[in-house]
Amino acid sequence: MLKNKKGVGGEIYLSPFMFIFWIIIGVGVAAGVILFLSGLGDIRHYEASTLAVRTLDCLSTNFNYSLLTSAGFNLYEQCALNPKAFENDNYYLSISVENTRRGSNQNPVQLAELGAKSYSADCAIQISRLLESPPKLPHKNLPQCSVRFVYVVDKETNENYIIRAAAASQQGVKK
Amino acid sequence: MINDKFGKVLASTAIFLILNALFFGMMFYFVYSATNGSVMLEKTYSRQIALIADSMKQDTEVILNVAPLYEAREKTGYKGEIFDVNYDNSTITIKLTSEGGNSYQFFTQLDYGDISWDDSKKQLIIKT
Repeated sequence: MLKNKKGVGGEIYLSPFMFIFWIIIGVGVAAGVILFLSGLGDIRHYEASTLAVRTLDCLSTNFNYSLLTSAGFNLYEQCALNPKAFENDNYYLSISVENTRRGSNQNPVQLAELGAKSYSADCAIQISRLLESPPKLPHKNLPQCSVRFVYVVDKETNENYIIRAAAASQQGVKK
Repeated sequence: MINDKFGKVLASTAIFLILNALFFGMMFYFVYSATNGSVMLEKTYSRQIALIADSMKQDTEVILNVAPLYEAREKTGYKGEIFDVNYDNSTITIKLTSEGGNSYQFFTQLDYGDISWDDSKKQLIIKT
């Protein structure tokens, strides 16, 4: 069978094409592994979600609207957040409170905005992608965001409020 | 004449098979070392610990089994500390080789000593 081939004597096995195929396979496998592993290390969405949920949990426990909107209110101290973690554009957190009573001032009051404020616009882009039909996955290069709400009752005034937390993380991504 | 030709085919087939085995062996080794190597462990554990510290409620304690890190350090021959916590910046660093190391930041304000480790039990203890 090999007699009619050009490379009699086994040269057909050890052709330059074989090495080219190996290089292509090797580069493909290496690129696949690196891409897969870099995706495993991306926990930004979990961080953003944790930041939002944890802050809402902290603010909704013994909720007191007048205390939260007082001049001396400090979100870092109240919720055990490290101010230095918000200095290097890794995180963003925005907290606002809204009274749900009809006839009250419906504009939400912003309690705090920590970290990289420019991520607010990026989060708007990310959320608009999710609301598209069909929904699109969040853009990988932009910060990963999480928006959460919680309904609370102020026990002193018996008023109902909605606390909204928008959090973003961009840790581990070159800025 | 036929024997000579047969011998050439056999030799080149043997070389072909050996080269193939070498190539795929190297590929498997690359994938194995990339997924189980110290770099991957440093990256995984630094993120895991940061995420746990951020998710914990007040006055709770989490004990984490970190035996794989100690085993990896033995393999690399590194003698230094595996964990380094910077409480000012809320950063944890995992180091399994003298030149490596992976740091990750968490946003929770922890007090000095809230993250500790027990070398004999190969455990990491996080308190909030």
